[in-house]
Amino acid sequence: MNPRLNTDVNNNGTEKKKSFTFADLPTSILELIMVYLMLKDNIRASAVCKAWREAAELVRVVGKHPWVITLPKYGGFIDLIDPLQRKLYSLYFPRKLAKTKVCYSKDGWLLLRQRSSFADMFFFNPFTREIKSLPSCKFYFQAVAFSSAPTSGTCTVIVLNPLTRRISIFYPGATEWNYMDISGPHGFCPNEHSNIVYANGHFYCFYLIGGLLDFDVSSRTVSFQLWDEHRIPYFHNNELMSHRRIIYLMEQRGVFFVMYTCGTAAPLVYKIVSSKWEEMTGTTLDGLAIFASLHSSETRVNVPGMGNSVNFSKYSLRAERCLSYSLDKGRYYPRKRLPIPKNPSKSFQCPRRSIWIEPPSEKVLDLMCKAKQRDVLQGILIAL
Amino acid sequence: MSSNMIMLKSSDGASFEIEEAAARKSKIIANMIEVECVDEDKAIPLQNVTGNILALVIEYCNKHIVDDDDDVATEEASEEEEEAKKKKVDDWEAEFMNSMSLETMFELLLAANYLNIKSLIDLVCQTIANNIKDKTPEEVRKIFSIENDFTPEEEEEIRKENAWAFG
Repeated sequence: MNPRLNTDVNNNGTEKKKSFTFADLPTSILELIMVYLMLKDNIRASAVCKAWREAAELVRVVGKHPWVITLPKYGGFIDLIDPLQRKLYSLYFPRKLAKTKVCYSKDGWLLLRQRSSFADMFFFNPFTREIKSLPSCKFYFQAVAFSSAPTSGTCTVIVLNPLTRRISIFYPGATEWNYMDISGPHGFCPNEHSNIVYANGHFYCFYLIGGLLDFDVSSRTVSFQLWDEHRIPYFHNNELMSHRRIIYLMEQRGVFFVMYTCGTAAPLVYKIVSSKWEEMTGTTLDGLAIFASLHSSETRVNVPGMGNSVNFSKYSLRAERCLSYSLDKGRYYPRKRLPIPKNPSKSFQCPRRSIWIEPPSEKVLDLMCKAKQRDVLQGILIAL
Repeated sequence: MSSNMIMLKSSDGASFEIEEAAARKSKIIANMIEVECVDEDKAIPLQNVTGNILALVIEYCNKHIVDDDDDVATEEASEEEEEAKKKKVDDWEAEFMNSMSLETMFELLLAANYLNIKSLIDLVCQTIANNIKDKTPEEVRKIFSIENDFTPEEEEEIRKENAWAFG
């Protein structure tokens, strides 16, 4: 708020209009204009003049972006990457967890499973190295997710096995899994589905033919939202036929986004509004940043330099950056193409061992940096 | 619905007659009515608003008071009707703002702020923001006739801090 400008305009309003200038608007009004700008435009507006800079900075909201975490194949060190700062951190990975795979990520926690089993899972916090166990699930999973940190007291875990038409749920405070049968609609195709998204008390999973599976945690009921329209791209492209098509589901403020990738083809992003599919471009995505990985995908707004892009969990050591696809420019970054996996059933964009994770707090990061040198020096000598 | 008429007088002496319900869109005028400092046959003087701008304000208020009436009449309107009506208002607002120069918008914003008409402030701010979107600082300065009061060092620092936004 700038009182001088305020009185200027209020008392001499009639004089002001002759020297018509948007720089002299009171800060309180300038703020009202700036709140309509996305981060990029807000920053540009702050370079116009001093008054605009003050207003722009007062209303600027900078979103936090997730980082990529990659588990090692055989124990040793976890790679933690801040894709924006292009910084790589190493975290000690207990040797006893060596034979595990990552299957979901939320609120800084990972859900890991034994490599040999799709039913034995546990929580792992890579920053504190805490482990929280889960009883073995009777049914193996095709997709799994949890709602919040296992230390939150409200953490629900869901296991989908549509092939056997079953859902297993682990409620907060429970000692064993709950099992439920699901009756899918006609034409329900259980094989191709997205990752699971948790939003507003519901778990959602998109099935290629059936639409959206919706599990309401509070009422403990499952339902299907059948969409009138479906877009299934890459079907008639011979070149892509042999490649695995991967489906990603994201949510932002109650709106769903479905994305497909296939081989090295451009990812296709759709926004679904009242079951109508709209293909997204840089303009229509309106600054939204997508963070995609095989097991969990999410979106953020107001993330510096990552908007209108699909950011994948594939990290290139040589380019020191994560693979991304810019919807504005219509191409992948880095420019040099990453090696295409020989096995077409593997994803080119998202390695199995990598996932997006909520970054650690500044304090934890500081401790990590100090601990890192020690860890690197002592390496595997650290007893656990 | 009250059909009391109120007189408003602009800074350059023009008088406007407006329905009380429409005038109440302005918090300031609504307050004046509440505390009964509005004389039946005397116009309310608005020293900070010129006649041509006041005409626009009144046009906006009249339009929106009619819509509020519709809402009451068709309370049980279907979702589709609601949507159609909202679209009609949006279209009208787009047309209303479209015909305006930035200079007019600037004065309208000050008037809406002075009269405290929240929805009009929002509408004008949104439209102004649309004029800022996807433009470089130089382009914005030119469009809005704003003088660059940064030193080259200061400007360089802002650009360096968030280089990605200027790429």
